[in-house]
Amino acid sequence: MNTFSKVLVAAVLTGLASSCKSFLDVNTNPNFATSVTPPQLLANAETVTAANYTSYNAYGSYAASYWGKSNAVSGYNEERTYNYSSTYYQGLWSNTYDNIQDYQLIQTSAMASSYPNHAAIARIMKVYNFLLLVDEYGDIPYTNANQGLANTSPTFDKQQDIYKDLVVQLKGAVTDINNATKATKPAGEDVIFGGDMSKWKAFANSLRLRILLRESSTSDATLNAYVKTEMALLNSPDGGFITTDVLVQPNYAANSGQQNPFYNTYGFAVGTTNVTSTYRFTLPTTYYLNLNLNQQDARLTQQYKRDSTTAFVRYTGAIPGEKSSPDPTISSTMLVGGEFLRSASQPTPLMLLAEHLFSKSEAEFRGLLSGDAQSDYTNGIRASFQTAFRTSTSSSSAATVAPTTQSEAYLAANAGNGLVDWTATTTLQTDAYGNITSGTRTVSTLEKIITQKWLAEVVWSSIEGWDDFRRTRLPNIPISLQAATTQFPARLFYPQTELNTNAANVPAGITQYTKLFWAQ
Amino acid sequence: MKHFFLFMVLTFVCLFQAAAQNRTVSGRVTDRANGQGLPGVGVIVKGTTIGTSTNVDGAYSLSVPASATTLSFQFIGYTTIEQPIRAGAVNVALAPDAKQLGEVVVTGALGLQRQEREVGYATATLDSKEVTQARPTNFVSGLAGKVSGLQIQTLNNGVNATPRVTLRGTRSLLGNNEALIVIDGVITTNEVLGALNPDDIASTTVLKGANAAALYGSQASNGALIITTKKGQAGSSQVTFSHTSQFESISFLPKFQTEFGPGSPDWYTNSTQAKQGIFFKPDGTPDRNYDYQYQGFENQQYGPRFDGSLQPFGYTLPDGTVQKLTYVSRPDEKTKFFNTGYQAQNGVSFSGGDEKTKFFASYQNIHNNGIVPKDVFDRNSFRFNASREIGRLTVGFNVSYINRKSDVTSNLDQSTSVYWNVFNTSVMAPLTSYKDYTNNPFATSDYGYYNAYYYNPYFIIDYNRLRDKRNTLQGDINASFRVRDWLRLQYRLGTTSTNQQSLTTQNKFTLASNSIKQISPYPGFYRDLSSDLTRVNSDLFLSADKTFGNFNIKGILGNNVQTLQSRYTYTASTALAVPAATELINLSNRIGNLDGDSRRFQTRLYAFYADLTLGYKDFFFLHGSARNDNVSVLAVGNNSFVYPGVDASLVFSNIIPALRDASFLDYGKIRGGYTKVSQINLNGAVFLPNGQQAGVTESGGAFQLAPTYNNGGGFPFGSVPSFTANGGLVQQNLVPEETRSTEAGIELSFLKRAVGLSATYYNQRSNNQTIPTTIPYSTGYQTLLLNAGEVKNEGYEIDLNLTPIRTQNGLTVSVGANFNYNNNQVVSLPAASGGILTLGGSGGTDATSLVAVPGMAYPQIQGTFYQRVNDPSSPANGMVKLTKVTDPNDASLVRYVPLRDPGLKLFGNTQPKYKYGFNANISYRGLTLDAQAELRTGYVIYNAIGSDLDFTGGGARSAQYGRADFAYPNSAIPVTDASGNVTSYTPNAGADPVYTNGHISSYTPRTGGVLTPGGSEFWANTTTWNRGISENYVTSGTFFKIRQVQLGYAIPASIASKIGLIKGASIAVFGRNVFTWVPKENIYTDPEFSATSAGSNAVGINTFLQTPPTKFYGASLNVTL
Repeated sequence: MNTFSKVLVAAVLTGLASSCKSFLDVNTNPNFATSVTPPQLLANAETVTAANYTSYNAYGSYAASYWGKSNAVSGYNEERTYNYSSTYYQGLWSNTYDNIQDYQLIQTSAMASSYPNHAAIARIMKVYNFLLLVDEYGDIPYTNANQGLANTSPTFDKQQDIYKDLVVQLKGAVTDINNATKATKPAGEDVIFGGDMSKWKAFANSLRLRILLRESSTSDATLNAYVKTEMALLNSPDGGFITTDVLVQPNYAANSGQQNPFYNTYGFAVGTTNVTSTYRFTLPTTYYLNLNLNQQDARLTQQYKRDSTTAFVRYTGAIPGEKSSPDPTISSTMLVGGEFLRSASQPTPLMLLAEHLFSKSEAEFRGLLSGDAQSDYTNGIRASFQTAFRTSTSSSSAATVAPTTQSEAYLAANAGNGLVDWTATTTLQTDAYGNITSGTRTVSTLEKIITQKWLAEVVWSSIEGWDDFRRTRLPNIPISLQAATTQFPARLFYPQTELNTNAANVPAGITQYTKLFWAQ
Repeated sequence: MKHFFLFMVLTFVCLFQAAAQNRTVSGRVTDRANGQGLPGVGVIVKGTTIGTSTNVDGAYSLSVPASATTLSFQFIGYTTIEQPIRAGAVNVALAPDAKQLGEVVVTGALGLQRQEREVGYATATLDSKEVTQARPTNFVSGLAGKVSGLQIQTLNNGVNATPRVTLRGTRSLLGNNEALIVIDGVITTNEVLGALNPDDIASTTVLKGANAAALYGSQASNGALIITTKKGQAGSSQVTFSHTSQFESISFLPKFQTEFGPGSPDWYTNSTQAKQGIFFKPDGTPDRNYDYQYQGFENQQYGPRFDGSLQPFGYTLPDGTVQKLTYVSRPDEKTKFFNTGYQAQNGVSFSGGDEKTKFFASYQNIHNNGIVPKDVFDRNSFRFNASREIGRLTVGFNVSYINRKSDVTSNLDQSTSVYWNVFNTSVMAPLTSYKDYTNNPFATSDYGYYNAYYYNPYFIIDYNRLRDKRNTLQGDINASFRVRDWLRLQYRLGTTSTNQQSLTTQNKFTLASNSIKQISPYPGFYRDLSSDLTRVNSDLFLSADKTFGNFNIKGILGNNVQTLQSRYTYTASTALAVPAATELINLSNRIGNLDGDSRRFQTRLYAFYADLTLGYKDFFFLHGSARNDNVSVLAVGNNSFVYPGVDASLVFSNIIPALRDASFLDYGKIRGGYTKVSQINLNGAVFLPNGQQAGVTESGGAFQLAPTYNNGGGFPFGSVPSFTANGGLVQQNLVPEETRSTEAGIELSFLKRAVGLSATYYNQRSNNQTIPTTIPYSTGYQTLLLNAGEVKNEGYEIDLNLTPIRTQNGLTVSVGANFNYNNNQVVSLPAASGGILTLGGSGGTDATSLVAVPGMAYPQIQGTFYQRVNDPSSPANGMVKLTKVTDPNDASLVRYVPLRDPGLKLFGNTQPKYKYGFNANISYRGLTLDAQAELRTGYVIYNAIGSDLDFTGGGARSAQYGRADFAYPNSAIPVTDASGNVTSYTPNAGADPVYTNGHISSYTPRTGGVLTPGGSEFWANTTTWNRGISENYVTSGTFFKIRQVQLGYAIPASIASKIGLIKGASIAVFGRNVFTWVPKENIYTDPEFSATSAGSNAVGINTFLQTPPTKFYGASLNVTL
């Protein structure tokens, strides 16, 4: 048995003698990648942008009076009173910066030089995201943002400066794409354009138009001169403009985590046949419904349910801030299978063609661009119908803006209505909630364009409708009955998370009524 | 397993060898004081080294050479007795020896034994009997209150609860603070200790702080529980049977109101209808439109006062019927819903051996039916150990296999929580009549069960199940070689391995399309988690013990290797395709993709240690130790560290013989020590993608340094994979947390051991806390893991034991008390954390959270509170500020409500500052009465359930003013100037109740008094007035519990030996948690409870996911053959 103990001891010592260093060398993570290539980051980054945009639109849908709350829920205090706080929608800030970080990594990773097309896409998408941030928060961390450990207390840049740089970045991205014709093009990982870089150039140009138009309505002469100069460059931009809705489609499916984000929140959870509770919280505003009903707008039939207990063409909506809001079981909740809840696999728009065309029309009408304002305006209406009647899985409405029965019928039915007909200048007088009263009133061309744009941007792009409202004060959306003051809010508070962690840099004295530089 | 068989063979060979011996002497050693058998008494043939020790009942059997004449019986603390060897049994009764207290043996680090006088740090040794006599199924829960400084906190009830074990407070803000568990020298887990058969445990040594446990390395900063299991005894073999039956019942429920039925009518009190006395829909049909105060389908209980009338309960069924019930309170229904739990424990053990070979085998089965209907738990524990001396070599093994199986309600969230749905049930509901939800039309989920918003709890129980199986193998093989008489080489290879299969299922339920109920349907799912955790621990060490004249040297030189391997595989479906019975739910029955995840972890550590004790005579001892750890989880360069410790002990009663002989002082010792221990606090808990704990999986801190890229949400979509940067950054050069612990103590024994006193002061400072701080999200990341911050724990431990009566006729009365004051303080936090660190939250509407704040004890409860007048010159100073509101039904009424402060407030620490344990024991011959109690105080808790009870209107708090408009206590009314600005506050003079039929029906404000709305609009539905204010639900955590009472009778050895077949028998009746006292303000639950996930320090918030506290009564029978 002495032999046994010797063997035992020898075995242990042998085990120990094998290199101690390699013994400890077991800390490499087998569960997750510790490095990735730009193509591996792109699809998720684009998909997250789509999900985040859905959240921006949820905010915009209430702020711009597309939506009111039903009686199925209490709360929604901020929406009803505009008493914002630093935690209200603070996820927009964190999620957007988190998303930008993935684009930043695509741009700055060691392998970025091998993937210049991916880097150019990241550059465009960063602009898209920073624009969302700057439009809700004003001054934000920009030049020092997304540096990770290199800068853990980023300073804030002025919104005007960020706006200028966004245009520079977009122009730079187009140049990058031109210089990268021989480089690897994205394929399936580009869930927006499938690697079609000419479409990315067009998207960059349309985004430039969105940015320049947004800062075009101030009384700052220097800025106006700058906008004029920059706009002129868009008269025949390298790559043109978008010709379809810009859609994100990673192949959404009725699986956990894979559903279209809007459908997932407002429609059905995976595997359920009963709507989510959020679905029941949300109703269209009376104002939105009336505007549609007054114009016999067929888009509405794709969007919201008719009141189930009353006669045909009766729609019941909510008035923002009303004391006792309507019961969702008997009012116009979203139409299941309609435009907004077509299916779990419907794409998410990042930019509607209609929005672009209305922007272009406005720029042309105001002499900032050359071109046919009326034609772009009418095509904008048609594009919006394409979006509203889009079938469940098609990722684009149509290659060209083809007239459809519904849009032409709408235009025909509203001949002479100044809110629709380009040549008409008057419309029927309505009360604050869009109910037709008596007489007529005049409609400016700008009101016409912005009203149609507001209608086109419903749900999918509500945040743009909100931005346009803050810029033009159009259309005449009703203020909440419980508004704390007589003002609409102008922006979001800086989020609590940033106040907690970066207090020294967060601008002070900002409230929800502090207007952005481009706002009226 | 190869080793296992080798040792099995070895053991049997040894057993045969044992047969050839000389004559055998046997007998029994008893305690003269009480006639009970004394285990562990050394029985030695005088003048030889032949000997044995007595078994658990004091019996021994020894083969002696023909030449032997005398046996010597030696036991520490007792006077040695010599008896001549004669024919027949040699029975002796030993008397306590008052002079030898310092010689109590302490099992220290590595399982090496030291005499108590040698150790310079605080320890406590518990005999297993003290812990297990009230028959807890989990050994750990039996330790509560027995040792100063040791805190056993049962966070939840249930058929298989795992209490939290901490010693001397909590040192790490976010890391592990639980005591290290060592079973037979092998590092293991609390979870495994809880699974052991408590009857297998021989003794427990509590090493209270880092000073005592430093040799165990980085986990030792939290102190350690050193568990020694029973071993075979030399002598005649012995078989023990035991049976225990016990009953479990609810010890208390929250205080429910019994005056008001279902309804949710904001502002009804002063409505036109109320003024006309209309509370019910006149036509007697369900009030679907919420026009009246009474709604029979409401989950909220803000309806009218019970009046005995006949009312519709629930909605109208499709066949047009509606349940009609008398409108009365049925307060016993909630209690009757819960079962009386029954638990049976059956055990058998077999032990035997001779001087060279010893073995022990045991089996125990526990079957437990919990208080929640259909909750079942089964445990089977097997143990086998054996050892054999072969010349200078001793080899042995010790193996325990435990199989656990539970089948319980899954209790995942509100819609699957039984408790929430029971207390949410209207006090009007005949709840137990809804048991048969398939046949009783008034109990069905589609139409019947009265509640429009929540499920029938009986339905929840059947539809949401968690079935869990765990197999644990815990054991070691060991060899000890006596190189010289003073030098020994030992090797021990141990393992703890648990694998778990956990199946959580939910049956699919789709609400019938024509149902008007508002409940969220169950999508149904199948979640199959299999996880395992294997730790291997290897210790090779040389120990020396040599005396030179007056000096004694004890040294240890050793090597320790630890590895951890853990993994899990998770497969789940998001939704079922069709409903199926629980047993038949499977993955193929699903909609959507398979949901799955799998992770594996590995860590390694090797260490070298040295330990030296220098003793001078029998009164001065100096001890030093050092250990060098090398770990895999930190970066090269930071992964090797040394920690030293030093302590000394002076037995002053041994210095001066005069002192020693003085009649009043038997023993006196002072001691002190300093130790530094590094603890790696990289988060070990592993969570599934759905946020639940990944079974028994532990990461051991592996893989946390390098940033990772996880799958983006939903990815891969089809064939497109994509990743996203993880939001966490890690500081370069992360180092371990470091605890520097100083302690000093004194141990005294007076008056022939009638009084024993020990006291310890300790001070622990833990710096380099490893904290994931929140960084600005604009950096692109969310957290940064860094070393910063310091925590201090300072405290006293006092143990006092009195034996006022010890008579010659066998009556002994002893009482004991222990006390621990622990002041825990966060000294500093990283600047980046914004001065506050959030540990966890209630998730409720009131934003209550548990935080750490510099300068204060942690965790602190932080939450919302009311604004108060802060003006010492005002008569209203300190009173709650009111603000005017309008009653929408009657604008002429002036009503005021309290104002919520926009800020957050700290309400206090959630861990007791003062802990007292009490025990009393009376024994007379074979009869013993034993009781043990505990008091904890100096802390607060947050009862999230309170807010829930106000929401449902089921709690007594919401009915305290009879639901009438009332005067808010200690409130102040605003005084405004002409332009409406508040200039000052005056005290609210209050109001007087108006009684109708013995109930408060309204209040009349006194002059200068105003009223606050008293209906659901105040209590439930305007969160900023009541329910969303944390201060309403923070209560003192103080409690006094009688942990156990036991009355036992052991048949005296003399009688047992006459019966012949039976060597001993005992019976006992007992109760556990028989009495709990809490302050009046705590009307909610056991303050020990907390919704804390394993490994988290966020203790102090209880929720509806903990079932009500329970008490146990039972009886046990033990027979030794």
